[in-house]
Amino acid sequence: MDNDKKLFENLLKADGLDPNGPNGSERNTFARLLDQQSKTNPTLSYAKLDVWRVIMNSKITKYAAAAIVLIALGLSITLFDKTITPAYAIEQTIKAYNSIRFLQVKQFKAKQDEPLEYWIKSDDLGNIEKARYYLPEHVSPEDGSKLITWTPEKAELFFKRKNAYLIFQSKKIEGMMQHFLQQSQPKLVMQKLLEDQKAGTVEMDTQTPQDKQKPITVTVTDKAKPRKTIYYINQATDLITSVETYEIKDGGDVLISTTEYYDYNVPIDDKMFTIADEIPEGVTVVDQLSRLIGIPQGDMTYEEAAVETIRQFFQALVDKDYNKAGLIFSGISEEKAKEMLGRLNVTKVISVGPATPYPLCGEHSFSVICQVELTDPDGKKRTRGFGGVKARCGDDEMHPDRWIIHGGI
Amino acid sequence: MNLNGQLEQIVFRCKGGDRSAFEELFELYQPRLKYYVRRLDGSAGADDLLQDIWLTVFKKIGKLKEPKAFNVWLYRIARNRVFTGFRRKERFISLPEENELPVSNSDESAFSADDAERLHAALGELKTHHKEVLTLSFIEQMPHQSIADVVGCKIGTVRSRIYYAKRSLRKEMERNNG
Repeated sequence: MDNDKKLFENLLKADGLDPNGPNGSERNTFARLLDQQSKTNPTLSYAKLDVWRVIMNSKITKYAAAAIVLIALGLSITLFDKTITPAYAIEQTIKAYNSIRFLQVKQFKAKQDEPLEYWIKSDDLGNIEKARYYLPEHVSPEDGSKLITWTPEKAELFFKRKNAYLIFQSKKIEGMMQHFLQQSQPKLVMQKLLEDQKAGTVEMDTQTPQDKQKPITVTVTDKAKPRKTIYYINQATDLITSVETYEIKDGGDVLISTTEYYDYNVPIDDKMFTIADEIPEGVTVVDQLSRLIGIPQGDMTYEEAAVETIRQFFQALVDKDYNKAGLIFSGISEEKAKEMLGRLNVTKVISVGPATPYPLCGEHSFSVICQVELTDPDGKKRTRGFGGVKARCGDDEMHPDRWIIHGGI
Repeated sequence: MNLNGQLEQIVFRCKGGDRSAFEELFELYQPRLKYYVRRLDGSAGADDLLQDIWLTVFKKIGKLKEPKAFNVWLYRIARNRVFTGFRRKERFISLPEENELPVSNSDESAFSADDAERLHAALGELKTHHKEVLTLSFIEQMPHQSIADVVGCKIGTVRSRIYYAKRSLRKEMERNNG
Protein backbone atom coordinates (compact mmCIF):
# COMPACT_ATOMS: atom_id res chain seq x y z
CA MET A 1 0.00 0.00 0.00
CA ASP A 2 1.53 3.33 -0.92
CA ASN A 3 2.01 5.97 1.71
CA ASP A 4 -0.69 8.32 0.37
CA LYS A 5 -3.34 5.66 0.44
CA LYS A 6 -2.35 4.53 3.90
CA LEU A 7 -2.40 8.13 5.12
CA PHE A 8 -5.85 8.57 3.60
CA GLU A 9 -7.16 5.46 5.31
CA ASN A 10 -5.60 6.27 8.65
CA LEU A 11 -6.97 9.80 8.63
CA LEU A 12 -10.47 8.51 8.05
CA LYS A 13 -10.07 5.90 10.76
CA ALA A 14 -8.85 8.60 13.14
CA ASP A 15 -12.17 10.36 12.56
CA GLY A 16 -14.13 7.17 13.24
CA LEU A 17 -14.89 6.59 9.57
CA ASP A 18 -14.50 3.37 7.65
CA PRO A 19 -12.36 4.04 4.55
CA ASN A 20 -13.96 1.07 2.83
CA GLY A 21 -17.41 2.58 2.67
CA PRO A 22 -20.40 4.07 4.44
CA ASN A 23 -21.96 2.50 7.53
CA GLY A 24 -25.35 0.77 7.59
CA SER A 25 -27.15 3.84 8.84
CA GLU A 26 -25.77 5.93 6.02
CA ARG A 27 -26.65 3.31 3.45
CA ASN A 28 -30.20 3.22 4.70
CA THR A 29 -30.50 6.99 4.60
CA PHE A 30 -29.08 7.01 1.11
CA ALA A 31 -31.54 4.34 -0.01
CA ARG A 32 -34.36 6.53 1.28
CA LEU A 33 -32.89 9.49 -0.57
CA LEU A 34 -32.87 7.44 -3.75
CA ASP A 35 -36.43 6.33 -3.11
CA GLN A 36 -37.54 9.91 -2.66
CA GLN A 37 -35.66 11.01 -5.70
CA SER A 38 -37.05 8.25 -7.88
CA LYS A 39 -40.56 9.50 -7.10
CA THR A 40 -39.76 12.90 -8.52
CA ASN A 41 -37.35 11.69 -11.18
CA PRO A 42 -38.87 8.92 -13.28
CA THR A 43 -35.60 8.42 -15.14
CA LEU A 44 -34.00 7.01 -12.02
CA SER A 45 -34.17 3.29 -12.54
CA TYR A 46 -34.61 0.84 -9.70
CA ALA A 47 -31.87 -1.59 -9.07
CA LYS A 48 -32.73 -4.19 -6.49
CA LEU A 49 -31.76 -2.84 -3.10
CA ASP A 50 -29.55 -4.99 -1.00
CA VAL A 51 -31.74 -4.88 2.08
CA TRP A 52 -29.35 -7.04 4.01
CA ARG A 53 -26.87 -4.23 3.95
CA VAL A 54 -29.39 -1.90 5.47
CA ILE A 55 -28.79 -2.19 9.12
CA MET A 56 -29.82 0.87 10.95
CA ASN A 57 -31.24 4.30 10.48
CA SER A 58 -32.42 7.03 12.68
CA LYS A 59 -31.94 10.79 12.74
CA ILE A 60 -35.08 12.38 11.54
CA THR A 61 -34.78 15.68 13.35
CA LYS A 62 -32.52 17.40 15.80
CA TYR A 63 -35.04 17.15 18.60
CA ALA A 64 -37.41 14.58 17.32
CA ALA A 65 -36.10 11.44 15.87
CA ALA A 66 -36.95 7.83 15.51
CA ALA A 67 -34.82 4.80 15.17
CA ILE A 68 -35.31 1.94 12.84
CA VAL A 69 -33.33 -1.17 13.12
CA LEU A 70 -33.10 -3.93 10.65
CA ILE A 71 -30.97 -6.68 11.97
CA ALA A 72 -29.59 -8.94 9.37
CA LEU A 73 -29.62 -12.45 10.60
CA GLY A 74 -27.67 -14.31 8.10
CA LEU A 75 -24.86 -16.51 7.26
CA SER A 76 -22.79 -19.52 7.70
CA ILE A 77 -20.14 -21.77 8.93
CA THR A 78 -18.33 -24.78 7.61
CA LEU A 79 -17.74 -26.79 10.74
CA PHE A 80 -20.01 -29.69 11.32
CA ASP A 81 -19.79 -33.36 11.82
CA LYS A 82 -19.99 -35.01 8.41
CA THR A 83 -20.90 -38.33 9.98
CA ILE A 84 -24.23 -37.12 11.33
CA THR A 85 -27.54 -37.74 9.66
CA PRO A 86 -30.23 -35.14 8.93
CA ALA A 87 -33.49 -35.63 10.78
CA TYR A 88 -34.60 -32.26 11.96
CA ALA A 89 -37.16 -30.03 10.18
CA ILE A 90 -37.46 -26.28 10.61
CA GLU A 91 -41.19 -26.62 11.18
CA GLN A 92 -40.36 -28.14 14.57
CA THR A 93 -38.66 -24.95 15.66
CA ILE A 94 -41.49 -22.80 14.36
CA LYS A 95 -43.91 -24.92 16.36
CA ALA A 96 -41.72 -24.76 19.45
CA TYR A 97 -41.86 -20.97 19.43
CA ASN A 98 -45.65 -21.03 19.74
CA SER A 99 -45.21 -21.60 23.45
CA ILE A 100 -42.64 -18.86 23.94
CA ARG A 101 -43.89 -15.70 25.64
CA PHE A 102 -40.64 -14.10 26.77
CA LEU A 103 -37.25 -13.96 25.14
CA GLN A 104 -34.00 -12.07 25.51
CA VAL A 105 -31.46 -11.58 22.75
CA LYS A 106 -27.91 -10.27 22.61
CA GLN A 107 -26.17 -9.58 19.37
CA PHE A 108 -22.42 -9.14 19.26
CA LYS A 109 -20.98 -7.39 16.24
CA ALA A 110 -17.49 -8.33 15.17
CA LYS A 111 -14.83 -6.01 16.63
CA GLN A 112 -17.35 -4.40 19.00
CA ASP A 113 -17.45 -5.13 22.71
CA GLU A 114 -20.88 -3.83 23.58
CA PRO A 115 -23.80 -5.97 22.34
CA LEU A 116 -27.18 -4.91 21.03
CA GLU A 117 -29.80 -6.18 23.45
CA TYR A 118 -33.48 -7.00 22.95
CA TRP A 119 -36.25 -8.04 25.28
CA ILE A 120 -39.34 -9.42 23.56
CA LYS A 121 -42.76 -10.35 24.94
CA SER A 122 -45.19 -12.26 22.73
CA ASP A 123 -48.92 -12.88 23.09
CA ASP A 124 -50.65 -16.26 23.23
CA LEU A 125 -50.59 -16.51 19.46
CA GLY A 126 -46.85 -15.93 19.36
CA ASN A 127 -47.18 -12.39 17.98
CA ILE A 128 -44.90 -9.73 19.40
CA GLU A 129 -46.70 -7.70 22.03
CA LYS A 130 -43.95 -5.58 23.53
CA ALA A 131 -40.28 -5.03 22.89
CA ARG A 132 -37.32 -3.18 24.29
CA TYR A 133 -34.05 -2.51 22.54
CA TYR A 134 -30.73 -1.17 23.63
CA LEU A 135 -28.59 -0.05 20.72
CA PRO A 136 -25.01 0.87 21.61
CA GLU A 137 -23.22 3.78 20.07
CA HIS A 138 -21.41 1.75 17.41
CA VAL A 139 -24.73 0.94 15.72
CA SER A 140 -25.20 4.60 14.87
CA PRO A 141 -22.27 6.77 15.96
CA GLU A 142 -24.04 9.95 14.87
CA ASP A 143 -26.85 9.41 17.35
CA GLY A 144 -24.98 7.72 20.16
CA SER A 145 -26.58 4.95 22.19
CA LYS A 146 -30.36 4.57 22.11
CA LEU A 147 -32.95 2.93 24.27
CA ILE A 148 -36.23 2.07 22.58
CA THR A 149 -39.43 0.54 23.86
CA TRP A 150 -42.25 -0.39 21.56
CA THR A 151 -45.87 -1.49 21.80
CA PRO A 152 -48.48 -1.18 19.06
CA GLU A 153 -49.86 1.84 20.92
CA LYS A 154 -46.69 3.73 21.75
CA ALA A 155 -43.01 3.99 21.04
CA GLU A 156 -40.50 5.62 23.36
CA LEU A 157 -37.00 6.55 22.39
CA PHE A 158 -34.20 7.96 24.51
CA PHE A 159 -31.09 9.46 22.94
CA LYS A 160 -28.58 9.59 25.76
CA ARG A 161 -26.06 11.83 24.04
CA LYS A 162 -28.68 14.20 22.64
CA ASN A 163 -30.41 14.24 26.00
CA ALA A 164 -33.73 13.82 24.23
CA TYR A 165 -36.71 11.60 25.01
CA LEU A 166 -39.32 11.06 22.32
CA ILE A 167 -42.79 9.61 22.80
CA PHE A 168 -44.54 8.99 19.53
CA GLN A 169 -46.45 6.69 17.25
CA SER A 170 -46.63 6.61 13.51
CA LYS A 171 -47.65 4.15 10.87
CA LYS A 172 -44.35 4.64 9.12
CA ILE A 173 -42.32 3.88 12.23
CA GLU A 174 -44.66 1.07 13.18
CA GLY A 175 -44.09 -0.53 9.81
CA MET A 176 -40.35 -0.25 10.21
CA MET A 177 -40.48 -1.59 13.74
CA GLN A 178 -42.60 -4.53 12.65
CA HIS A 179 -40.09 -5.26 9.96
CA PHE A 180 -37.31 -5.20 12.52
CA LEU A 181 -39.28 -7.38 14.88
CA GLN A 182 -39.73 -9.91 12.13
CA GLN A 183 -35.96 -10.00 11.80
CA SER A 184 -35.33 -10.45 15.51
CA GLN A 185 -38.08 -12.89 16.47
CA PRO A 186 -36.78 -16.43 15.90
CA LYS A 187 -40.14 -17.89 14.92
CA LEU A 188 -40.64 -15.30 12.21
CA VAL A 189 -37.04 -15.67 11.09
CA MET A 190 -37.50 -19.39 10.63
CA GLN A 191 -40.79 -18.93 8.77
CA LYS A 192 -39.04 -16.52 6.42
CA LEU A 193 -36.25 -19.03 5.99
CA LEU A 194 -38.72 -21.69 4.89
CA GLU A 195 -40.24 -19.26 2.39
CA ASP A 196 -36.80 -18.41 1.03
CA GLN A 197 -35.99 -22.08 0.69
CA LYS A 198 -39.19 -22.71 -1.24
CA ALA A 199 -38.46 -19.72 -3.44
CA GLY A 200 -35.01 -21.12 -4.13
CA THR A 201 -33.13 -18.02 -2.98
CA VAL A 202 -31.14 -19.87 -0.34
CA GLU A 203 -29.49 -23.22 0.09
CA MET A 204 -29.98 -24.98 3.37
CA ASP A 205 -27.98 -27.75 4.97
CA THR A 206 -29.29 -29.27 8.19
CA GLN A 207 -27.21 -31.57 10.36
CA THR A 208 -28.40 -33.35 13.48
CA PRO A 209 -25.62 -34.82 15.64
CA GLN A 210 -26.27 -38.16 17.22
CA ASP A 211 -25.06 -36.74 20.51
CA LYS A 212 -28.22 -35.06 21.82
CA GLN A 213 -26.16 -32.62 23.82
CA LYS A 214 -24.83 -31.08 20.64
CA PRO A 215 -26.97 -28.57 18.79
CA ILE A 216 -28.58 -29.09 15.41
CA THR A 217 -26.93 -26.86 12.83
CA VAL A 218 -28.84 -25.29 9.98
CA THR A 219 -26.45 -23.67 7.54
CA VAL A 220 -28.06 -21.25 5.14
CA THR A 221 -26.17 -19.95 2.14
CA ASP A 222 -27.58 -17.01 0.25
CA LYS A 223 -27.47 -17.56 -3.51
CA ALA A 224 -27.32 -13.88 -4.34
CA LYS A 225 -24.78 -12.66 -1.81
CA PRO A 226 -21.52 -13.95 -0.36
CA ARG A 227 -23.14 -14.77 2.98
CA LYS A 228 -23.82 -17.68 5.18
CA THR A 229 -25.76 -18.07 8.39
CA ILE A 230 -25.55 -20.89 10.81
CA TYR A 231 -28.36 -21.50 13.26
CA TYR A 232 -27.64 -23.58 16.36
CA ILE A 233 -30.74 -25.33 17.65
CA ASN A 234 -31.17 -27.12 20.93
CA GLN A 235 -32.16 -30.73 20.20
CA ALA A 236 -34.26 -31.05 23.35
CA THR A 237 -36.33 -27.89 22.89
CA ASP A 238 -36.05 -27.20 19.14
CA LEU A 239 -35.33 -23.55 20.11
CA ILE A 240 -32.50 -21.50 18.66
CA THR A 241 -29.61 -20.90 21.02
CA SER A 242 -27.43 -18.79 18.76
CA VAL A 243 -26.92 -17.58 15.21
CA GLU A 244 -23.64 -16.78 13.54
CA THR A 245 -23.39 -14.63 10.45
CA TYR A 246 -20.44 -14.77 8.10
CA GLU A 247 -19.30 -13.00 5.00
CA ILE A 248 -17.80 -15.47 2.54
CA LYS A 249 -14.40 -14.33 1.35
CA ASP A 250 -11.65 -15.97 -0.63
CA GLY A 251 -9.31 -16.01 2.34
CA GLY A 252 -11.92 -17.61 4.60
CA ASP A 253 -15.27 -16.74 6.09
CA VAL A 254 -15.36 -13.58 8.17
CA LEU A 255 -17.61 -13.45 11.22
CA ILE A 256 -19.98 -10.48 11.10
CA SER A 257 -22.07 -11.08 14.18
CA THR A 258 -23.12 -13.60 16.77
CA THR A 259 -26.66 -13.53 18.13
CA GLU A 260 -27.49 -15.33 21.35
CA TYR A 261 -31.03 -16.23 22.39
CA TYR A 262 -31.61 -17.01 26.04
CA ASP A 263 -33.96 -16.85 29.02
CA TYR A 264 -36.80 -18.36 27.04
CA ASN A 265 -40.06 -17.89 28.96
CA VAL A 266 -38.37 -16.20 31.90
CA PRO A 267 -40.96 -13.49 32.64
CA ILE A 268 -39.86 -9.92 31.91
CA ASP A 269 -41.25 -7.21 34.16
CA ASP A 270 -43.67 -4.88 32.35
CA LYS A 271 -41.59 -1.93 33.60
CA MET A 272 -38.93 -2.99 31.13
CA PHE A 273 -41.25 -2.02 28.27
CA THR A 274 -41.40 1.65 29.14
CA ILE A 275 -38.45 3.94 29.72
CA ALA A 276 -40.40 6.83 31.25
CA ASP A 277 -39.12 6.04 34.74
CA GLU A 278 -35.53 5.83 33.62
CA ILE A 279 -35.23 9.25 32.01
CA PRO A 280 -32.88 11.58 33.90
CA GLU A 281 -33.94 15.10 34.86
CA GLY A 282 -33.34 17.92 32.43
CA VAL A 283 -33.95 15.82 29.34
CA THR A 284 -35.75 17.43 26.40
CA VAL A 285 -39.07 15.61 26.27
CA VAL A 286 -40.84 15.50 22.93
CA ASP A 287 -44.28 14.08 23.60
CA GLN A 288 -46.04 13.78 20.28
CA LEU A 289 -48.62 11.36 21.59
CA SER A 290 -50.46 13.06 24.42
CA ARG A 291 -50.14 16.61 23.09
CA LEU A 292 -51.90 18.00 20.05
CA ILE A 293 -48.84 19.21 18.24
CA GLY A 294 -48.52 21.58 15.29
CA ILE A 295 -51.15 23.63 13.51
CA PRO A 296 -54.16 22.38 11.53
CA GLN A 297 -54.05 22.43 7.74
CA GLY A 298 -57.70 23.44 7.43
CA ASP A 299 -58.53 24.66 3.94
CA MET A 300 -54.96 25.62 3.11
CA THR A 301 -52.99 24.03 0.33
CA TYR A 302 -49.85 22.14 1.36
CA GLU A 303 -47.63 25.06 0.35
CA GLU A 304 -49.79 27.54 2.21
CA ALA A 305 -49.82 25.34 5.30
CA ALA A 306 -46.04 25.08 5.26
CA VAL A 307 -45.64 28.85 5.10
CA GLU A 308 -48.30 29.35 7.76
CA THR A 309 -46.56 26.86 10.07
CA ILE A 310 -43.34 28.83 9.94
CA ARG A 311 -45.15 32.17 10.23
CA GLN A 312 -47.11 31.06 13.29
CA PHE A 313 -43.99 29.62 14.89
CA PHE A 314 -42.01 32.83 14.65
CA GLN A 315 -45.06 34.91 15.59
CA ALA A 316 -45.39 32.75 18.72
CA LEU A 317 -41.77 33.62 19.54
CA VAL A 318 -42.53 37.30 19.01
CA ASP A 319 -45.53 36.93 21.35
CA LYS A 320 -43.40 34.97 23.84
CA ASP A 321 -45.99 32.20 23.54
CA TYR A 322 -43.56 29.38 24.15
CA ASN A 323 -46.26 26.80 24.64
CA LYS A 324 -47.45 27.33 21.08
CA ALA A 325 -43.90 27.61 19.74
CA GLY A 326 -43.02 24.32 21.44
CA LEU A 327 -46.05 22.57 19.99
CA ILE A 328 -45.07 23.63 16.50
CA PHE A 329 -41.42 22.84 17.18
CA SER A 330 -42.02 19.06 17.09
CA GLY A 331 -43.81 19.10 20.44
CA ILE A 332 -41.20 20.18 22.99
CA SER A 333 -42.45 21.53 26.31
CA GLU A 334 -43.14 25.24 26.97
CA GLU A 335 -40.26 25.35 29.42
CA LYS A 336 -37.84 23.80 26.96
CA ALA A 337 -39.04 26.04 24.14
CA LYS A 338 -38.37 29.09 26.27
CA GLU A 339 -34.93 27.79 27.19
CA MET A 340 -33.98 26.87 23.63
CA LEU A 341 -35.71 29.54 21.57
CA GLY A 342 -36.24 32.45 23.95
CA ARG A 343 -32.65 33.61 23.68
CA LEU A 344 -33.17 34.38 19.99
CA ASN A 345 -35.44 37.24 21.09
CA VAL A 346 -37.43 37.42 17.88
CA THR A 347 -39.24 40.76 17.83
CA LYS A 348 -40.82 40.84 14.37
CA VAL A 349 -41.65 38.52 11.49
CA ILE A 350 -40.47 40.28 8.34
CA SER A 351 -41.24 37.77 5.62
CA VAL A 352 -42.08 34.08 5.25
CA GLY A 353 -42.01 32.10 2.03
CA PRO A 354 -41.97 30.85 -0.55
CA ALA A 355 -42.17 27.13 0.26
CA THR A 356 -40.39 24.65 -1.96
CA PRO A 357 -40.95 20.87 -1.81
CA TYR A 358 -38.47 18.96 0.37
CA PRO A 359 -39.46 15.31 -0.06
CA LEU A 360 -36.65 14.03 2.10
CA CYS A 361 -38.69 14.73 5.22
CA GLY A 362 -41.91 13.19 3.88
CA GLU A 363 -44.31 13.36 1.00
CA HIS A 364 -45.78 16.68 2.08
CA SER A 365 -42.69 18.46 3.34
CA PHE A 366 -41.42 21.88 2.38
CA SER A 367 -38.43 24.09 2.89
CA VAL A 368 -39.47 27.63 3.74
CA ILE A 369 -37.34 30.75 3.48
CA CYS A 370 -38.01 33.45 6.05
CA GLN A 371 -36.65 36.60 7.61
CA VAL A 372 -37.20 37.83 11.14
CA GLU A 373 -36.04 40.73 13.26
CA LEU A 374 -33.97 39.90 16.33
CA THR A 375 -33.22 42.29 19.16
CA ASP A 376 -29.87 41.89 20.88
CA PRO A 377 -29.50 42.35 24.64
CA ASP A 378 -28.13 45.85 24.03
CA GLY A 379 -31.34 46.77 22.19
CA LYS A 380 -29.77 46.69 18.75
CA LYS A 381 -32.13 45.31 16.12
CA ARG A 382 -30.94 43.18 13.23
CA THR A 383 -32.43 41.07 10.48
CA ARG A 384 -31.82 37.32 10.47
CA GLY A 385 -32.60 35.18 7.48
CA PHE A 386 -33.33 31.46 7.67
CA GLY A 387 -32.37 29.71 4.48
CA GLY A 388 -34.85 26.88 4.67
CA VAL A 389 -36.84 25.86 7.72
CA LYS A 390 -38.48 22.50 7.10
CA ALA A 391 -42.19 22.11 7.69
CA ARG A 392 -44.11 18.92 7.20
CA CYS A 393 -47.61 17.55 7.46
CA GLY A 394 -48.44 14.85 9.99
CA ASP A 395 -49.66 12.58 7.20
CA ASP A 396 -49.41 9.09 8.60
CA GLU A 397 -48.28 10.27 12.02
CA MET A 398 -50.48 10.32 15.09
CA HIS A 399 -51.75 13.82 14.25
CA PRO A 400 -52.66 13.72 10.57
CA ASP A 401 -53.39 17.04 8.88
CA ARG A 402 -51.36 18.95 11.44
CA TRP A 403 -48.14 20.69 10.54
CA ILE A 404 -44.93 20.94 12.52
CA ILE A 405 -41.40 22.18 12.07
CA HIS A 406 -39.08 19.36 11.19
CA GLY A 407 -35.41 19.29 12.06
CA GLY A 408 -34.94 22.51 14.00
CA ILE A 409 -34.25 25.99 12.74
CA MET B 1 -9.62 0.44 -16.92
CA ASN B 2 -7.99 2.77 -14.38
CA LEU B 3 -9.76 4.33 -11.41
CA ASN B 4 -10.49 7.55 -13.23
CA GLY B 5 -11.93 5.62 -16.13
CA GLN B 6 -14.12 3.59 -13.78
CA LEU B 7 -15.33 6.73 -12.08
CA GLU B 8 -16.21 8.31 -15.40
CA GLN B 9 -18.22 5.21 -16.28
CA ILE B 10 -20.11 5.39 -12.99
CA VAL B 11 -20.82 9.09 -13.43
CA PHE B 12 -21.95 8.48 -16.99
CA ARG B 13 -24.40 5.84 -15.75
CA CYS B 14 -25.62 8.22 -13.04
CA LYS B 15 -26.34 10.80 -15.69
CA GLY B 16 -28.54 8.19 -17.32
CA GLY B 17 -30.45 7.67 -14.08
CA ASP B 18 -28.96 4.30 -13.12
CA ARG B 19 -29.78 3.75 -9.48
CA SER B 20 -27.03 1.21 -8.88
CA ALA B 21 -24.49 3.71 -10.22
CA PHE B 22 -25.61 6.22 -7.60
CA GLU B 23 -25.08 3.54 -4.97
CA GLU B 24 -21.58 2.89 -6.27
CA LEU B 25 -20.82 6.59 -6.18
CA PHE B 26 -22.07 6.79 -2.63
CA GLU B 27 -19.95 3.81 -1.57
CA LEU B 28 -16.93 5.42 -3.11
CA TYR B 29 -17.30 8.95 -1.82
CA GLN B 30 -19.33 9.03 1.38
CA PRO B 31 -16.53 8.45 3.93
CA ARG B 32 -14.07 10.89 2.35
CA LEU B 33 -16.79 13.45 1.70
CA LYS B 34 -17.85 13.16 5.31
CA TYR B 35 -14.30 13.73 6.47
CA TYR B 36 -14.06 16.87 4.34
CA VAL B 37 -17.44 18.22 5.45
CA ARG B 38 -16.67 17.56 9.10
CA ARG B 39 -13.41 19.46 8.82
CA LEU B 40 -15.13 22.46 7.26
CA ASP B 41 -18.24 22.36 9.39
CA GLY B 42 -16.36 21.68 12.59
CA SER B 43 -19.01 19.31 13.88
CA ALA B 44 -18.90 15.60 14.56
CA GLY B 45 -22.21 14.95 12.83
CA ALA B 46 -22.80 16.57 9.46
CA ASP B 47 -25.39 14.00 8.36
CA ASP B 48 -27.94 16.64 7.43
CA LEU B 49 -25.37 18.47 5.35
CA LEU B 50 -24.36 15.28 3.57
CA GLN B 51 -27.96 14.43 2.77
CA ASP B 52 -28.41 17.83 1.21
CA ILE B 53 -25.20 17.41 -0.75
CA TRP B 54 -26.26 14.06 -2.18
CA LEU B 55 -29.68 15.42 -2.96
CA THR B 56 -28.04 18.18 -4.98
CA VAL B 57 -25.92 15.58 -6.75
CA PHE B 58 -29.05 13.64 -7.76
CA LYS B 59 -30.75 16.72 -9.04
CA LYS B 60 -27.87 18.25 -10.93
CA ILE B 61 -25.70 15.42 -12.15
CA GLY B 62 -27.61 15.40 -15.43
CA LYS B 63 -26.20 18.84 -16.11
CA LEU B 64 -22.60 17.85 -15.44
CA LYS B 65 -20.99 18.06 -18.88
CA GLU B 66 -17.71 16.30 -18.19
CA PRO B 67 -17.85 13.12 -16.07
CA LYS B 68 -14.13 13.44 -15.43
CA ALA B 69 -14.82 16.75 -13.67
CA PHE B 70 -17.03 14.99 -11.13
CA ASN B 71 -14.51 15.12 -8.31
CA VAL B 72 -14.15 18.88 -8.40
CA TRP B 73 -17.87 19.34 -9.03
CA LEU B 74 -18.83 17.22 -6.01
CA TYR B 75 -16.51 19.05 -3.64
CA ARG B 76 -17.69 22.42 -4.91
CA ILE B 77 -21.26 21.41 -4.08
CA ALA B 78 -20.15 20.23 -0.65
CA ARG B 79 -18.18 23.39 0.00
CA ASN B 80 -21.04 25.65 -1.06
CA ARG B 81 -23.45 23.74 1.12
CA VAL B 82 -21.21 23.95 4.18
CA PHE B 83 -20.59 27.66 3.79
CA THR B 84 -24.28 28.31 3.19
CA GLY B 85 -24.77 26.63 6.55
CA PHE B 86 -22.16 28.90 8.08
CA ARG B 87 -24.02 31.94 6.86
CA ARG B 88 -27.25 30.56 8.28
CA LYS B 89 -25.60 30.05 11.60
CA GLU B 90 -24.05 33.50 11.40
CA ARG B 91 -20.60 32.17 11.90
CA PHE B 92 -19.45 32.46 8.36
CA ILE B 93 -16.05 34.05 8.24
CA SER B 94 -14.74 35.23 4.94
CA LEU B 95 -11.46 33.67 4.04
CA PRO B 96 -8.42 35.88 4.26
CA GLU B 97 -6.17 35.60 1.26
CA GLU B 98 -2.51 35.16 2.06
CA ASN B 99 0.02 36.82 -0.14
CA GLU B 100 0.79 34.46 -2.90
CA LEU B 101 4.18 32.95 -2.44
CA PRO B 102 6.33 31.29 -5.03
CA VAL B 103 6.12 27.98 -3.21
CA SER B 104 7.44 24.99 -5.06
CA ASN B 105 6.12 21.51 -4.55
CA SER B 106 9.44 20.40 -3.18
CA ASP B 107 8.95 22.68 -0.22
CA GLU B 108 5.84 20.84 0.74
CA SER B 109 7.00 18.34 3.26
CA ALA B 110 5.12 15.08 3.20
CA PHE B 111 3.37 13.46 6.15
CA SER B 112 3.80 9.81 6.77
CA ALA B 113 0.88 7.46 7.19
CA ASP B 114 2.02 6.88 10.76
CA ASP B 115 1.37 10.56 11.45
CA ALA B 116 -2.35 10.12 10.75
CA GLU B 117 -3.64 10.18 14.34
CA ARG B 118 -1.62 13.26 15.26
CA LEU B 119 -2.33 14.83 11.90
CA HIS B 120 -6.05 14.39 12.36
CA ALA B 121 -5.96 15.97 15.80
CA ALA B 122 -3.81 18.86 14.63
CA LEU B 123 -6.02 19.52 11.58
CA GLY B 124 -8.84 20.41 13.93
CA GLU B 125 -6.81 23.31 15.29
CA LEU B 126 -6.16 24.97 11.94
CA LYS B 127 -8.06 27.78 10.28
CA THR B 128 -10.93 26.61 8.09
CA HIS B 129 -9.29 27.58 4.81
CA HIS B 130 -6.14 25.74 5.81
CA LYS B 131 -8.07 22.63 6.87
CA GLU B 132 -9.88 22.70 3.57
CA VAL B 133 -6.91 22.66 1.23
CA LEU B 134 -5.06 20.09 3.29
CA THR B 135 -8.07 17.80 3.48
CA LEU B 136 -8.53 17.92 -0.27
CA SER B 137 -4.84 17.31 -0.68
CA PHE B 138 -4.59 14.43 1.81
CA ILE B 139 -7.91 12.71 1.20
CA GLU B 140 -8.37 13.20 -2.50
CA GLN B 141 -4.73 13.74 -3.46
CA MET B 142 -6.23 16.48 -5.55
CA PRO B 143 -3.91 18.45 -7.83
CA HIS B 144 -3.49 22.10 -6.94
CA GLN B 145 -5.47 23.23 -9.97
CA SER B 146 -8.42 21.07 -8.94
CA ILE B 147 -8.26 22.41 -5.39
CA ALA B 148 -8.28 25.90 -6.86
CA ASP B 149 -11.38 24.96 -8.86
CA VAL B 150 -13.12 23.67 -5.76
CA VAL B 151 -12.19 26.59 -3.56
CA GLY B 152 -12.65 29.16 -6.30
CA CYS B 153 -9.30 30.89 -6.14
CA LYS B 154 -6.06 31.08 -8.10
CA ILE B 155 -3.65 28.17 -8.15
CA GLY B 156 -0.99 30.38 -6.60
CA THR B 157 -3.28 31.03 -3.67
CA VAL B 158 -3.77 27.30 -3.22
CA ARG B 159 -0.01 26.76 -3.22
CA SER B 160 0.55 29.41 -0.61
CA ARG B 161 -2.34 28.17 1.51
CA ILE B 162 -0.97 24.66 1.43
CA TYR B 163 2.47 25.99 2.34
CA TYR B 164 1.16 27.97 5.31
CA ALA B 165 -1.25 25.22 6.26
CA LYS B 166 1.50 22.61 6.43
CA ARG B 167 3.69 24.99 8.39
CA SER B 168 0.86 25.53 10.88
CA LEU B 169 0.21 21.83 10.98
CA ARG B 170 3.82 21.06 11.80
CA LYS B 171 3.79 23.63 14.59
CA GLU B 172 0.57 22.24 15.96
CA MET B 173 1.86 18.69 15.89
CA GLU B 174 5.09 19.73 17.60
CA ARG B 175 3.11 21.63 20.21
CA ASN B 176 0.92 18.60 20.85
CA ASN B 177 4.03 16.51 21.30
CA GLY B 178 5.19 18.89 24.01
